Amino acid sequence: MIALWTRLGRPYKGRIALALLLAGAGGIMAALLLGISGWFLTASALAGAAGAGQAFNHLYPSATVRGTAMGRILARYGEQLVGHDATLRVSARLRRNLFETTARARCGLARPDADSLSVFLDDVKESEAALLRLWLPLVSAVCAALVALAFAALTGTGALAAVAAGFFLTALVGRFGLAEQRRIDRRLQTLSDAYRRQAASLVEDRIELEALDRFGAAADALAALAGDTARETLRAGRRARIVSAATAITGGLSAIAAIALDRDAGTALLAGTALSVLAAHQAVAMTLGAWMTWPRTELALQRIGNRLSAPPAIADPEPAPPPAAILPVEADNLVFGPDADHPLASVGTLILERGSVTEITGPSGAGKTTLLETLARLRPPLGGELYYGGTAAGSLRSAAVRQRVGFAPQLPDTMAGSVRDALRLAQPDADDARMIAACDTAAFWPGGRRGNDRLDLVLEDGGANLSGGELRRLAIARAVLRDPDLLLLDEPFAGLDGPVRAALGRNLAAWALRHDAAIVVVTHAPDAALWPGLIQARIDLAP
Amino acid sequence: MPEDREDPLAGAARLKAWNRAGRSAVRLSILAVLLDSFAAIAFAFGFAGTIAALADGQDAMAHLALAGTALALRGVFGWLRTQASEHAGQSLVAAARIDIARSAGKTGPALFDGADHGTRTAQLVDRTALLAGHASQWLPGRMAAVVTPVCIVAAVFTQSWLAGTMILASTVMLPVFIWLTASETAALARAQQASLDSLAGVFEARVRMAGTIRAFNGVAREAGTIEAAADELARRTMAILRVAFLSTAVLEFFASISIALVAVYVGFKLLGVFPFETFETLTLQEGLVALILAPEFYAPIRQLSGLHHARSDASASAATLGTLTADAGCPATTRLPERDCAPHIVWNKVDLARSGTTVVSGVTASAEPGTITVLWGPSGSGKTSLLLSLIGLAEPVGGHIAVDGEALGAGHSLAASAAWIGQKPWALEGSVRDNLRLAAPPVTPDSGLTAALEAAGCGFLDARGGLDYRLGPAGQGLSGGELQRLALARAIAGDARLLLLDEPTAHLDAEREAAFLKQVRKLAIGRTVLIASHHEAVRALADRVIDLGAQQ
Repeated sequence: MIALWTRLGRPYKGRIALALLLAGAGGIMAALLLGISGWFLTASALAGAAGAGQAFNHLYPSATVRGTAMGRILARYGEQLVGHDATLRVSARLRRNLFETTARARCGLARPDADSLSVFLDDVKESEAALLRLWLPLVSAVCAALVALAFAALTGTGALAAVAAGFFLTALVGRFGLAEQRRIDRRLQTLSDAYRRQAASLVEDRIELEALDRFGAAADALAALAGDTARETLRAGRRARIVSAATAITGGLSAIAAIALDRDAGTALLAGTALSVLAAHQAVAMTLGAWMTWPRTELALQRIGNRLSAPPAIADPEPAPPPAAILPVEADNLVFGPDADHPLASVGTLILERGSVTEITGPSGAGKTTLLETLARLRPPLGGELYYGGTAAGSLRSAAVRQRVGFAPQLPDTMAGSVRDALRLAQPDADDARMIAACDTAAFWPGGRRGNDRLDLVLEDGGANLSGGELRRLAIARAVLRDPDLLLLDEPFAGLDGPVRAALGRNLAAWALRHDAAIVVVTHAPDAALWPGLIQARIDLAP
Repeated sequence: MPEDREDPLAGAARLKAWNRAGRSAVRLSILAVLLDSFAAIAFAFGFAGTIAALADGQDAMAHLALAGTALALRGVFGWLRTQASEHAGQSLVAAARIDIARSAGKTGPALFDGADHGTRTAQLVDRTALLAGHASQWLPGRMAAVVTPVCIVAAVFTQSWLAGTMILASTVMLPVFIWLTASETAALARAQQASLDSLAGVFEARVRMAGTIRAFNGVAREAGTIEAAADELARRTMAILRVAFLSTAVLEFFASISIALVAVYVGFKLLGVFPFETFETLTLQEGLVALILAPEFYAPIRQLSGLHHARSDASASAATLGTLTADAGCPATTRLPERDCAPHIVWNKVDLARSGTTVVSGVTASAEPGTITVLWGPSGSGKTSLLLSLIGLAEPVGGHIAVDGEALGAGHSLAASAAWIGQKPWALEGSVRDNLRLAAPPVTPDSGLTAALEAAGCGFLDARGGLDYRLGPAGQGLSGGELQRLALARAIAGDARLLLLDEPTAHLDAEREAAFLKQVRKLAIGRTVLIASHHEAVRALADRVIDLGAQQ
């Protein structure tokens, strides 16, 4: 936790320190306010009873009471403001860094699955909230406790012992509470996950469930899970509630014990001690309540920390000059696969030269897409040699190679926005004319549209308003827009009817000749006639 | 229920109904609040008595015992209050969730129409969770905000009329407090909404497609976009929070000032230096009681801000959830008996409505036994609705549907003779055998099930235990394409004569799509197959294409 926040918070060290300082000041003021008030009142009464009222210096204590009251308000206001400010800034950096490390550590193009993505987003929120929810209240409570101890020390050893014992007991109670919490949390988590899954299934699969006559049963199962989840939620919070009550009782008893043990000390100080102890325990009780969620936060912080220190998928050399050209691409006994323990396949010799097309075929699962990703420097080769323009891949920065590669996947990702926005992802400074040219090369004619209004077409979530083939051709336009030397296409022709298919092949072949580029195409139906004018090669991946 | 209309009055009534089970817990919680106030007063007297006795050099043990007992009781009452209010909150949540699940069971799947999956699931899970605050915080808290201050100020009046009056006078500011807290709540809610909308969306979308962004060397650029969005959010949020926290500070200021005033008055009075005649003599005990009780007076009022938050969350949720509990008026579907042979289906100038909204108008189409009919058209052209009209989930409001020459009435469902396969088929948690038996006639031997697996191309299961292979929740253990095959096998095992496929290949790559379609082609013999799709490969498979985009 501390490691994560110090790493991300370095530029905002001042702000975080100030927030912690203000939290401490707030705790001190709260305990002082009650302590001094109690002391002041009792001392005044004693002085008044002794007839020394006029001689008693009441100005300083009464000013202190007013001062601590004001100070407490200002400290709390500042703590909240500075704390939120620091949190928001650290969060901006955290999200930026997380995105960068996540993107660099990822192999290939596949999306993260929905479950792990939602766990990740929850972890981010949980980690961000740690300063405000856990650390500021803790510092505040500890400072209040120190004030109470100071009052007790002024009062006498008996009072000090009683108050110290009280805080010690409270700490023990907190430990006891936390000990089992992890297990209890996990049980609750399992149940609430089950409820969420069942709810999602009831909504998403409702037609299928109805067709199977299972919808009513699934609804009943959801109702049963709702009852179980409520019961388990209640059980999970039981310990925290007991800890809270026990803390309040311990605080009260230690205040009483302090008075009982040091009865002969100054009455005014006794009153001050007792009241400040009560104030401190109130702060401690609230803090402990928040800390009962620590196991969950700790886990989130651990996972976020691991993500931040994940090594990039491809280890880049120190700054190296960009290659003069990445063609020809040459590979010798190239081994590739999802990770080092699972090599999928290898190719003996592969040469991609200017003005050529290489068709890759093979059965499902043979690693055709993985080979494309390896050539695009999106995942490391697991063995063999790979050269770009005569230079070994390992001595080139992977980004420098990717700069000259265009990749059109089978199931392309798009962000919400227009076709123009989707294309900009590949080439932020491209103008409309270039975009239209790329769309034409890719035969991207959504719904038969051929004009410039194609760029204004708004894509629904995940491109749902395009057909599968249209979405794939949009991805090809995006790849071509980069003017790559190496164009990688994953099943571009799947499901296309004759005329569109022929037009796409013809356009791409002409484009490759014009740009002196190499094309690699994964296909389950190789067709030499599609590529007029290009040097042709074929690689068949055995399973 | 075409859209989620919010009706605050109905929302309040619904909260009341759901809260019925937890009402005694709410009452217990309020009782605990009341008892806690008495204990607080007892403690103040006990503690003040102790100090006064000590100051006079008398024995203080009786007073000390009172103070100690009162404190212990406060701990117990505090526990009782949280325990009871949590119980009330969870009862409310469970009641709402069970109510919705039951009404879904009664109304059928049409209940969830009208919003996308994510929104509906979030309503069932997150929105219902927000209801807890109504019973656990708002109901006992609003009572505490009245009962506790009244008890406390009465106790203070028995000790010092002027201190009591000072505290009471500060309640003149109460409407201002409430206005401030309410505006703070609104501001915080706005801030949260803004954060949800902008940053979360920007961040999530980029993390989701991180691979693609890296392929285009856009990582640094998009990271910059994320940081810019976060900075913008921070700037906007801080502007709102500065005001929100200021209003809290103002509230605290009034509370502290009146506590400090009481303290200073009591102190000066005890010293005998208070310059004005107050027509009361104040002892140490009386002064201390007033001082200790003053903060207790404000404590529940200070919590009002949080209470308003809980309340507005809960009532907004209840209003939204209304659409999921109201009797939607969807007629229950009637399952027609299973058919022995593939049906011949004709839609003649059909208008279809879902949840009261017409989604398809004037469509004419037909599907014949032994053939594959593809419903073609852009999303929203009513492909799915046409399929749904065969299982009673889309209401024919015009024209007529005929099955083998007989009219298909409203709510009549061919589900017993049909199999439905969507993008990601549903699978039961359990063995492959359990999954096939869902559809298969009870007497089917294992060999029949194995034959179904074979016919659907489920060879991938052989190495994993065949019928005994166990699936996790939500089909875990099988890929999307494998689940599609299993769903096909289920259709074969159930001897479904009508196959309804809704965008079955949307998430499959070209190769798996081709393999799946080959399988479907084989199954078309002796069955009627209808596929809604906008994938070219599916269109290529069709014996007949019905272009819904062109018809409307």
